[in-house]
Amino acid sequence: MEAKNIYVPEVADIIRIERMTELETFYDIKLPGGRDLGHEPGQFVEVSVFGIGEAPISVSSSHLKKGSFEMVVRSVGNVTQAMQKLKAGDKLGIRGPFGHGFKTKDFEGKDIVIIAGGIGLVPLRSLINTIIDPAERKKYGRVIILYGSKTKEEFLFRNELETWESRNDIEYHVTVDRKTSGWNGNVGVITTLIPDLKLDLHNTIAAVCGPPIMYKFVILSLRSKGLKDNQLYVSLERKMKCGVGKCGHCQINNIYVCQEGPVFNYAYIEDLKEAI
Amino acid sequence: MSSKAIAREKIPDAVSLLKAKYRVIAPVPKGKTFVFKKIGNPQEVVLDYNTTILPLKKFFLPPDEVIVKYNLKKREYQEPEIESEPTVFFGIHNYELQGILRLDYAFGTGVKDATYLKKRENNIFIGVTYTPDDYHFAESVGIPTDLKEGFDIFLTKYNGHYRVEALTDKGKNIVSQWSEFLEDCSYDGDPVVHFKNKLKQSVAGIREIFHGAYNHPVWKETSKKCYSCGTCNLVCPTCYCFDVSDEVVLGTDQGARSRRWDSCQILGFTEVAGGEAFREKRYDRVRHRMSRKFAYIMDDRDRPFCVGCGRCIRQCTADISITDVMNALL
Ligand SMILES: Cc1cc2nc3c(=O)[nH]c(=O)nc-3n(C[C@H](O)[C@H](O)[C@H](O)COP(=O)(O)OP(=O)(O)OC[C@H]3O[C@@H](n4cnc5c(N)ncnc54)[C@H](O)[C@@H]3O)c2cc1C
Ligand code: SF4
Ligand code: SF4
Ligand code: FES
Repeated sequence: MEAKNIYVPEVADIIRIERMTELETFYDIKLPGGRDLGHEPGQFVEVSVFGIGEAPISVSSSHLKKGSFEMVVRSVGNVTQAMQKLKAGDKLGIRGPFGHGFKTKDFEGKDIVIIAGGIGLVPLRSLINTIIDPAERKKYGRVIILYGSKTKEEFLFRNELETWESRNDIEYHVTVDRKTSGWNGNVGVITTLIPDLKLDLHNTIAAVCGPPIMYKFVILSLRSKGLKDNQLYVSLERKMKCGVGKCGHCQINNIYVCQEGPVFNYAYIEDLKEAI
Repeated sequence: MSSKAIAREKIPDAVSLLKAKYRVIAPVPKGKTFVFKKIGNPQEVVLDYNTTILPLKKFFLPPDEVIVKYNLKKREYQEPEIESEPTVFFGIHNYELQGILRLDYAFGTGVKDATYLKKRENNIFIGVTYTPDDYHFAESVGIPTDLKEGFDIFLTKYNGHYRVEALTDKGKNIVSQWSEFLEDCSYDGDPVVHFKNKLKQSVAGIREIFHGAYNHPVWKETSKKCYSCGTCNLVCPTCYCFDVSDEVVLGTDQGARSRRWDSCQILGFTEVAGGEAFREKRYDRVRHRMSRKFAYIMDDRDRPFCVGCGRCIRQCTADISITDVMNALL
C-alpha cells in the first residue's frame, strides 16, 4: 500500500534560540540539508521534543526566508516547557506544514489590516514578513498593523516592532492593557485602536489572531466599521493531537481546524456555532 | 453453483480448518456477554449472540497503540512495525463490518493513515445473520440484516443449519476447502426479522434534521442524566478519536509515542492552555457525539457513521438512548 506512516517526525536542528520574554522563546530551525519547509503564511507544524511529546506550533517566518524557519513558543505545559530548556544544536522532531494559511495572492492590490493580540502576533508575523518584504511590498496597498499586549514587558520581536514603527510604508499602532513604568503610548484593549482607522471599505481585508476572547469583539468592531464578513480572516487555535484530520480534537462542529484552518475566511465559519 | 449449507455441529470443524492457515477471530461467550477474541479452541466459537462488548475496531485501532518509536541517544524517530497477519473474522454481524467500512473511510480519505490501513490488508470476513435484540436498530440506518456488503462468505441461519454463500474469490476458495462439511441447501429465503428499536424516519435526509436542531431542548435534557464517562465512545464501532502521549522506557534510551481511544464527552477533550474548553457545557458534548454520528461525518455514499449496533444504549449506565434522542429530533 502506498500510504506511509504519517506520524513519524523528521529530525531538525535548532540553529538559534533566544529568550524573548519570561514565557516566550524564539527558535530558528533547520530541516535536513537546509531544505525549505515549503509553507504558506499562517500554517503550522507539529513539533516533537524527544521523550516528552508533540505540540502544534505556528510557523512565524515568511516562506521567503530560505534555509530555515522560525517559531516562537510560550511555555505553558509539558512540551513547551521542555522546549524552553533546549539549546542551539539540540534536535527537534518536525511534521508538516499542516492546514491552510493566508493565500497572499488574493490580497494583492488590497489594503491589509493585521490585528494581533498577544501571542497571536507569532503566526501573523509570517504574513507580515511576506507582505512587507522589500521585493513584495509594492504588490499590496496599505499595510496597517494593530498590536495589543498585556504590558510592554510582554512585547515580542521588539526589534521588528521598531522597524515597523519607523518604516513609512507601514502604519503601526500598538496598545497595552496595563501601563507599566516607561510606557507613554496607548492603554486599552486592542479594539480601542479600530474606531480611528480610516479604511477604503471596498478594498481592505483584515487578518485577526489572538486569545479566544478577542475575536468576538474585534469582529464586531470591524463589521461596525463596514467591513464585510468575507473581508475578514481569522486564525483559530484548538486542541490538536494529530494535525492530519484523524484525532478529532480540533473539530469545530463538522470542520477540522488542522485541515481546513487554522486560517479561515470569516464568512466560511460564521454559521458554525462553536467557532467564535 | 447450487446452494450449500453447513450444520451447526460442523462449525468447529470449519473453524479448525481455517485455523491451519489463518489467525481466526470470532465471538466467544464471556459471562453473560460476548467478546471477539483470537480462537484457540474452535468449540468456543458462538454464532448465536446479540453483540460483543467491544466492536471489531479493537483489532484495527487498538485501545492503546504505538505510532512512533524513538531512540533518545541516537535522536532518531522510527516507524513501528505493523503486523498484518492473515486473519479470518468469523461470525461477524453486518453492522459490525459496516463499522469497519466507516473506519476505512475515516482513515483512508484525506491524509491516509498507514498505521490503520496496513492492518486492513489480509482480512477475510465471514458474516452471519442475527436476531435483533431490544437495542439493535441497524435497519433504521440503512443496514437491513441481509446486507452482505464487504463479506467474503455469508452464513444465513435456518433450522440448525447455515446457508453458505461465497461472495468473493477468497470466499470461494475457503468454501471449496470446506466441501467435506457441506451439504445441499434447500433454503433460499432470508429470515424475517423485526427490529424493536427503530428511528422514526429512515436515514435518507437525516443530516438535514440537524440544521435547525442546535438549540433543541433534547440536548440539555439528555445531558442532565449523562455522567460524561465516555463509555458510549469506547464501545462505538465508529468512534475513532484518539489522544497521543509519549513514554520512555525507564532506564533505557527507548521511547514510544502512542495513541489511545479518547472521548469527546470528556471536558478535557477540547481544553487548551489557559483553561479554555470549546465544548464546555455537557450538552455541547452530547450534541457533538450525536452530530458526528448522523451529520458531521458521512462516508462517500452519504451514509451516517452510526451503524445501529445499539452498544452505546446497552452499555450506558445513565440509560441514555441514541434512538430516543434522535426520535425527539425527528
Ligand atoms: C494551529 C496552532 C498553532 C499554535 N501556534 C503556537 C505558537 O506559535 N506558539 C505557541 O506558543 N503556542 C502555539 N499553539 C499552542 C500550543 O500548541 C500549546 O500551547 C501546546 O500544545 C501546549 O502543549 P504542552 O505540552 O506544553 O502543554 P500540556 O502539558 O499538554 O498542557 C498544558 C495546557 O495546554 C493545553 N493544551 C494541550 N494541547 C494543546 C494544544 N494543542 N493547543 C492549545 N493548548 C493545548 C492543555 O489542555 C493544558 O491546559 C498553537 C496551537 C495551535 C492549535
Ligand atoms: S455512556 Fe452514557 S453517561 Fe457515559 S458519556 Fe455516554 S451518554 Fe453519558
Ligand atoms: S452511535 Fe451507538 S448505536 Fe450507533 S454505532 Fe455507535 S455505539 Fe452503535
Ligand atoms: S488535530 Fe487531529 S483531527 Fe485535527
